Amino acid sequence: MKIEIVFSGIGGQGIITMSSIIGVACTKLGINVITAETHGMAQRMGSVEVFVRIGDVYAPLIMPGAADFVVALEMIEGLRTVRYLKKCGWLVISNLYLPPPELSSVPTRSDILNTLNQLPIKMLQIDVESIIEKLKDSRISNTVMLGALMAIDEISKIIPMNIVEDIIDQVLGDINREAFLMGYTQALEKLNKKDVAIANVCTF
Amino acid sequence: MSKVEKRLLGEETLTIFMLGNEAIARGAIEYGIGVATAYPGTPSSEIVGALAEVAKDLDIHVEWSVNEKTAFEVAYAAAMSGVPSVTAMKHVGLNVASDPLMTSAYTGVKAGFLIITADDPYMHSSQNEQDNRWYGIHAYIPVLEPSDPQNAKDLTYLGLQLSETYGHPFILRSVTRVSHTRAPVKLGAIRSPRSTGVFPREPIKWAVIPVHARKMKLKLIEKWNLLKEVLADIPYNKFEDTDSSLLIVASGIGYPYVKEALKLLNKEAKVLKLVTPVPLPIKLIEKAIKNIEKILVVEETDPVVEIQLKAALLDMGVNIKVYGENIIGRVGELTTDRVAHAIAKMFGISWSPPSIFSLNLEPPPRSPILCPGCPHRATFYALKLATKKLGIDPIYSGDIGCYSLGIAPPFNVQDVIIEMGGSIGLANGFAHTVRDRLTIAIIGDSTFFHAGIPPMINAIYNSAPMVILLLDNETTGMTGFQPHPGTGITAKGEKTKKIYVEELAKAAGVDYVGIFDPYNIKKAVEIIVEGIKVAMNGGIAFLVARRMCSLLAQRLMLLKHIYRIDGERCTGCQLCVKTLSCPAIVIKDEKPHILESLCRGCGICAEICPVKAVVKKSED
Repeated sequence: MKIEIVFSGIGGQGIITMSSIIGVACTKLGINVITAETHGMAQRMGSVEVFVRIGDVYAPLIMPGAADFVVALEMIEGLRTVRYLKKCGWLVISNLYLPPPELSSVPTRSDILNTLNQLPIKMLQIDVESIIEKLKDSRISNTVMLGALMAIDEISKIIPMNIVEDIIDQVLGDINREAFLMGYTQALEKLNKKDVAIANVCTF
Repeated sequence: MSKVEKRLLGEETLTIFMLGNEAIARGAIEYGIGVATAYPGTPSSEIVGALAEVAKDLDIHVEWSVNEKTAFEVAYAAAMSGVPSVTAMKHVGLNVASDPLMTSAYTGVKAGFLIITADDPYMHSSQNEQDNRWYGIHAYIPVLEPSDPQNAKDLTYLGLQLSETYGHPFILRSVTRVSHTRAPVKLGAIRSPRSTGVFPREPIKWAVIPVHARKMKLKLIEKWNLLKEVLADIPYNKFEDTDSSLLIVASGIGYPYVKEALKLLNKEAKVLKLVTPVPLPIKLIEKAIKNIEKILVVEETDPVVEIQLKAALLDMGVNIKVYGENIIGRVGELTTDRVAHAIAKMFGISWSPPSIFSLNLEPPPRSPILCPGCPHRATFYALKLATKKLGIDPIYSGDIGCYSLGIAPPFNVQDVIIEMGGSIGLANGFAHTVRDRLTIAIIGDSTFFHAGIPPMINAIYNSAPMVILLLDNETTGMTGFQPHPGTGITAKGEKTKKIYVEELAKAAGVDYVGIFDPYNIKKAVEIIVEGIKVAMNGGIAFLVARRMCSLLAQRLMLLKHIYRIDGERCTGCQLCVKTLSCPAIVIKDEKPHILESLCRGCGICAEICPVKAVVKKSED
């Protein structure tokens, strides 16, 4: 068994925290896991990617074109890191759109979605903005997206949902647990309603 | 108990998911160290950061030292007095500590002494990608090189143990992908810390006057040869035998990539996992090269093992072709595809990495930038205004820290960045050569304490006119908010004497001292103009921009309010966007808009708005 996940976003969004939660869950389950992070200078609002490798793995990095999942906490970063995804892999992408300041030509939300829709991938977009608005806390986008990832069978059959929920509850507390569950529920509904973008060549 | 404490002091036999750097800290705790020292630097900072959190529980001495040289000396003296110790630093930090490093092998130590260097291949957060295993060869100090967090913990313990057994310092060379990797780590037993030492008078052992040092050098060479034998027998060097005629020698982080690549290619080779790259254990090599046609060396950065191996084979009179750097290269980090390519080549098979989607849309670059509310942004803005007012174009001599980000537009105030303290040191040189332009040395508070004081004194002594602009954000920002001598707080979080940079400068004899709060732009410009005038008249001006890092202020819950833009008053001139480049201000329908979730309430945009359209949100 081998699962490779790339978490991407902007420094400050809590990407190391979400990858560590997966790591703690795997460790509790006795499953091998390696995560590789970015620290230091790159963290100051720059692009951040964290690699999570689970199961029969040795090395810390994920090759471009090899990831089973890319979980993007921001749309432009989703566009940047989709190159890690393998054919028919899952892109779980937030609808948060934070263009870098003071750049003249930045792809719009629809530019990004149009481009991603043409790729041979499975895409699940999560409305994180509405959850942030409901919970009145902008710092929970990481746990929302982690919840969304847990709604996908390939993950939850290896790492049970309740184990991750317990860890979030212990480590991050109530509001994050709530955010996690809201992300999970939204993703589950979308998957059940087939409100996902699946390329023709992929099966779902 | 904090989360870090739980991980670091967990019971024996538990398996805990931990960061490589925490695993190193745990290894040191298991050995029973009494002293740990460091100056923070990516990717090493969490080692002593974690030890500081448990220092009180263990009753050991843990400190953020003023720089790596001092950190080294503190830990070295502990080991001289019989207290086992570690000192940790980033790769370039060891350059600062290299003076005592080179002589430490001559004197040796009484208790375990481990020098931990965390190298940064690919320069994620560094100015170069030097391979510090060379220091081992240079200084006659053995180097241990772990492959993952578990190995890092085990080798930390082993390094301290070998150091104590042979009375010799050891180096542990980590890299970003060991230090900043997390994995399950099985904990071992914790021995009681030994934190009290003795130092009997014995200058023949500790004072390296020439007559002593000449004798020490002879003994050192003997010890070095002995250690080669010892390292050949340690169990963490592992020979995986197969029928293959290819031997892959994998040092440190090279090993997991080799395992991954062999699996990917579905191939078998003999693999020698090496955790002792320096000195190369020749006996082990002799065993591993039986029935071998060729050798591939996989190591991160420079061909340190490869060069020693080639020399050893030559000495043995063995003619086996050695590959490595010629097909893997010596730039950047190893990756599975780089290693798979090399191994495929050895087998004479073709291999292509997974195909990557081609996109018709290029994602815009997102470089690290100054955070919202960063006081450096305000200082740089004021600096630009002041130089414009005086009609001058100074040389901006930059330094290592968050303010290095001032290199980006719209500020462009870092014309040269070399090393810690280099801003003032280089300004000394420019002052004597580029006489038609003033030099402004821009340096942070922690960096000033680290390496800025001697070049400031040099400027005063040798009459090098300059402005020293000290950005005092009351912390070591880039590496994660470690306290320093100007904060009045120790690594353990205890109160201590606070050292004021302006008092140091005054005592040394600068011609002008000006202190301002960068959030007050008008006052800041006034003082910077005054300082520049002093320097233009041949003096040395010392300016302190004092305001706490906005990220730290947010953590300490010191922020009071945020701002919003009154859409009716805003004319859409976008002065705020263009001159501040603040991530909290975005353009929405041609007009600037403040993202409430990012605003830290510094109020600079409100100060500079020509139509006063930026207002405090609480005033609604």
